Amino acid sequence: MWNLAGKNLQSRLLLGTANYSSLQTLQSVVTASETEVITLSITRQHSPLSTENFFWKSIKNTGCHLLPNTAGCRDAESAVTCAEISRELFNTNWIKLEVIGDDYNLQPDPFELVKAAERLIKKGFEVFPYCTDDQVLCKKLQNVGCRILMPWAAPIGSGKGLLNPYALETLRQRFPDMILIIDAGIGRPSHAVRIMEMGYDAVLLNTAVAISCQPEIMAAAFRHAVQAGQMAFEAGLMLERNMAQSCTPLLDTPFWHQELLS
Amino acid sequence: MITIHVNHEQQSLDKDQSINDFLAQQPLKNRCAAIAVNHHFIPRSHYDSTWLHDGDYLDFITPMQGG
Repeated sequence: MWNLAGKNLQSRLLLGTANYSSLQTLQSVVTASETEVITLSITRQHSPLSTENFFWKSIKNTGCHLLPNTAGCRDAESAVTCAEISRELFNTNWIKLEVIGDDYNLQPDPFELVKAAERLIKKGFEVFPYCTDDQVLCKKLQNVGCRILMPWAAPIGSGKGLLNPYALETLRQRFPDMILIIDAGIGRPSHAVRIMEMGYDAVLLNTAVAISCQPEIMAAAFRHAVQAGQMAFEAGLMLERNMAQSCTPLLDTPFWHQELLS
Repeated sequence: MITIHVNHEQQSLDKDQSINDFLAQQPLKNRCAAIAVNHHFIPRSHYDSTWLHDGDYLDFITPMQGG
């Protein structure tokens, strides 16, 4: 059990809802992942007003906590507006703050991100900022009141995994009291294991599950990976050493008195 | 008679009216929707006091999939 912004959760896997082949698949994935927090977004309605929103109906049935995002925003002004709309729509003050600064790698704009975070926190939001692994940026986000940081491991949807493990480990060490959630770039369950072994609080992913050939099975794989990494972190990982050391006690084994190999 | 643009489709109204009056006449099945008028978010608490005028753009904003 852990606490995320006032909610007690069992699962440390947060899941995006995009790119699934059907709503039925999405629901199966949510079930298989055992996630308790899902992300979603907002859009201008293009269908007639009389059309029912089946996605919304489906999402409500999951019983998960909702983490709306500000996808598509490129400046603080639009991100704040998007967050206010989401707060009314979804009845939550949680907001996954995305302010994109580059079209090629969808890197956050750090300047607009901090500006938006500061304004949203003053308006009573719990801000989950999608950020890079830059320590100075993270410090500024902390200074404006963020209690949670969501650094990328790699660009969104790239599946490249931990591009800069040193930076991510350093963030964990430098921000021991912040909730740290890796938000982007996870491609394989082994990436999630490694993140959790570092002591991160949770992993948020979408594409790696959604575009898998068997999303339900991949969701379960990530569930196990996150659990395994968390258990390993809690158990305490051994330190690496250069010299081999036999696991088996050699004293009194039949040939223990032979000459050592040189 | 005035004309407004609802989700980019023209719609005629008898006269200026509040958002609440407008909503009361719509066959809305999707209760989960926020509203923007001329690209500005209008909180629910302002639906009575916000009036639609000729040429206004009214957008319904709804949930969608997101990562």
